[in-house]
Amino acid sequence: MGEVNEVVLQFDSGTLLLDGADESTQVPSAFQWDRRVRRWRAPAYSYRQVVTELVRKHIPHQDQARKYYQFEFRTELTIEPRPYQRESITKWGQVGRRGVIILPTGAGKSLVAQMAIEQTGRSTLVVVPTIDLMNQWYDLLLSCFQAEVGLIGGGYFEVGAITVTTYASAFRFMERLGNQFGLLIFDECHHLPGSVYRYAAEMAIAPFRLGLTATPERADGNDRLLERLIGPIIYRREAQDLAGEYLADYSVVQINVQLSPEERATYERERTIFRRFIGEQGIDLSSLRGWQMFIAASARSEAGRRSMQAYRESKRIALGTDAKLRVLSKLLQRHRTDRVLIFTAENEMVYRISEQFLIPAITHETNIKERRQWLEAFNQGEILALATSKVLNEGINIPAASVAVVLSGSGSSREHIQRLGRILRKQPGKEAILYEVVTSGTAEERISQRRGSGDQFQGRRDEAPDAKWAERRLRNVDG
Amino acid sequence: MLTADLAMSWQRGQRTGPRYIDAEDPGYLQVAEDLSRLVREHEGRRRAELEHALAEYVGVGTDYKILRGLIKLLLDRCMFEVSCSKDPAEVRQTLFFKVRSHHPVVEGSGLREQLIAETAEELGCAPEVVVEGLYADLPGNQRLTYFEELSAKELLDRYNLSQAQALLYRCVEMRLWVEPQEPSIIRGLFEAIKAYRLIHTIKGKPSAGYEIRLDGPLSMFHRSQKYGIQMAVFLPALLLYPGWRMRAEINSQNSGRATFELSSDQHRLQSHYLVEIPGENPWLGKLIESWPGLNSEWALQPSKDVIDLGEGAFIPDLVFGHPQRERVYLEVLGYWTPRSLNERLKEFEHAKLKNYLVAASEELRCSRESPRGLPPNVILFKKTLSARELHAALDQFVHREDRPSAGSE
Repeated sequence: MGEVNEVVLQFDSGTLLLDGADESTQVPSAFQWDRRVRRWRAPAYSYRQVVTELVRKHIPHQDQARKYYQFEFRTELTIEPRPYQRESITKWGQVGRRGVIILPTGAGKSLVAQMAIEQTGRSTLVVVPTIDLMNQWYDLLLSCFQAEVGLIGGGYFEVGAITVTTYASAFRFMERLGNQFGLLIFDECHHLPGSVYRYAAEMAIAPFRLGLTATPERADGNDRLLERLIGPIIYRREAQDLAGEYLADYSVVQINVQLSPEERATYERERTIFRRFIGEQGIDLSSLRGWQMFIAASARSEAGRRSMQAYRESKRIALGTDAKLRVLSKLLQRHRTDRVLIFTAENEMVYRISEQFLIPAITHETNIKERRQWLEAFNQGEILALATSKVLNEGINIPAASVAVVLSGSGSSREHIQRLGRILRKQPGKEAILYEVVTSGTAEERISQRRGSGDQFQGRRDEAPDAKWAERRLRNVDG
Repeated sequence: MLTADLAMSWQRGQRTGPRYIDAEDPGYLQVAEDLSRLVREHEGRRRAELEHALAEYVGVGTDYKILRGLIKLLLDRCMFEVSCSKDPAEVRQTLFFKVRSHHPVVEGSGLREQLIAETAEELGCAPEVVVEGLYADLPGNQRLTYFEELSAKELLDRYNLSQAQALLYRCVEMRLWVEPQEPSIIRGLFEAIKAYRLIHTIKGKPSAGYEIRLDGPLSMFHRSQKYGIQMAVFLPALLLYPGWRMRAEINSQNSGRATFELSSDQHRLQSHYLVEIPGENPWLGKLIESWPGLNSEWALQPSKDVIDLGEGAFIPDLVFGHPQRERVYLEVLGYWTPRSLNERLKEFEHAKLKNYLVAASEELRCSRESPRGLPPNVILFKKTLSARELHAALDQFVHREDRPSAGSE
């Protein structure tokens, strides 16, 4: 048999197997002899290195592992990239298309991803932390590429030329589909090293990888894993490098509302139950540790369980008070010709608003086609308001919105408010406004005050007038 | 199965185990009864109402985790469906697009009622249907249409099994010790291992039994709990078989590792999997009885060997012994197709195993096409295989092996 033996590279359950090679064959360095199945096995993520070595050492081989394709992705860049966006992606190209880019929140990471997809031109998988973000990326990719965009997660299972999925789904399917993507993009890639999600990166052969994040450093020191799973950090800009120059121009107005006497009575009753328990247990809630102690203590006794219930109930009242809906009603009248986005923390509130004001709602429960339909109708001006819970966020393209109302913003950071504000577009001759509606005399108000202190962001025009001023403005609207 | 947050386990030193509940305890039986009744009573009602009633029942007791576990298992047996005469998406479209020229719809203006009435007329239904249909498709608004009931005792048994499974979510490696067994039982066990996509390594002897180590493809690079869920779904299959001990290495929640042990002697866990373990082929006994009548140099005996093929395992039914020759194994296939047979032969080839015969009954062939180009170590037979036929096949196979590899270049 004068013929030289050819080894066959196979993809097997998130790993690579070499067929036609026995223990004595010279194989690429990533392979280890798997005694269990009597074959050479390597982790899937070493694919690029494996192929390089096979070629360099002139080992005759047949690649049956690779099942991804080349595409020409025509993109319509609706927005001119900022210089830092261009720089970062040029750098990524120079280092062999493997690396992590760090940009502050709201700096347009999705445009960077879009350029990476165009430049690489291979079957692409975008991995994101939540279903909400998955839907956003789906909208974004559909609007900028003439390509088949697939979804895996949230009830969908379609692989496209570009596919969007969540970390949790990727962890599950990569074992089977890990050879179908040439480019992996990890959004918020600091989620990757911890927990089981990293297997999603390990079980894929993709030679090209891009990580995007604002905060790569993790307390557990696992960020070094990022280098192995994606690549080194190749580009970095901090918030203060970009602030002022590129941030949206809008003002923030805080409006305080009062609980009704009945709501106030229930609120105080529940808060007392909650506080008494905290006091008895000697728990200090100002630290993160304190909160963990409360959760543990609340599970141990009936009084504890009751206090957890009390905590939830009081929070629900502060977040969902009818007074907020009355303010919303006034704001909608005031901006009757503007496009208004309404944000809430809870789904329940979104549906209440939707049913009461007959405004379409977008939550994580909204199916993706309907979601697109409402976004388009909003941009076209066929509907003037949209209510949403945490779903619409940065990165989404809503050129028409000039007013945002944030109801029940508890727990959201100042940064979060800013992020929402960046969705807004200044209309000619009009300023964009973000209203934050907070319940007076509740824990929510204290959170909001804390949020207001220590502004680290420069170059931001932040007008937060006092409550009386806002009330007055509103009263003027009413006439 | 339970979600990981409902898992409850204990740990003492290096040992760990699920926190079972006493399935005979009158208190828990009552709770199981009550919860099932609550679900039953909500048939036809909204999911949110059911969940609210269940949460009320859980109340502020400290055993809420157990109750929530039971509830999860009950909800897994429920079917919820949208019940509205109009498609909710259509209702939303019709209604919300009407708002444009009236925006905003403020309370007290009567506008809301007017638009709902217009929508109802357009869709040909009552205004109440519009109001109710608007979000009838939300999970909380869907109605309970079917509940697959089970007895209180069954629910508690299922709960205990689910706790054992939930502990295995964090399993990094499982070891099984299997006593010498009938080939059909061992074969069933290995088929289950393969079906749940676990990889095994075998050590041992037929007389002493076998040690089987289970993990997954990635485990050779670093021990991972990636395969924990597969081990969890494998557990009820394992419970169907006799004669084993299991030791699972669990990633402990706090730190380090602990072991969870279980054996086929236990009585607490009941499998709900319905797998028929194939019995002995009745004619195999007769075959062994009639074999000496042939006066062959080959002796025929039942086999208790497990031969590792790498990805699979070869569990022969019978073994032929000869004073001067290597032993030859015989496996009698259960249900088969030409394709499955071919894959089986490839496995033998990959493992460089040569001294075997495979017997396949035409009656158990599950495809219309008949196999073509079979190698000489495959014996096809009608219903039973006679000692004479088998000997002829063995003879033919052995002589072919003896010939120098004719015809090869």
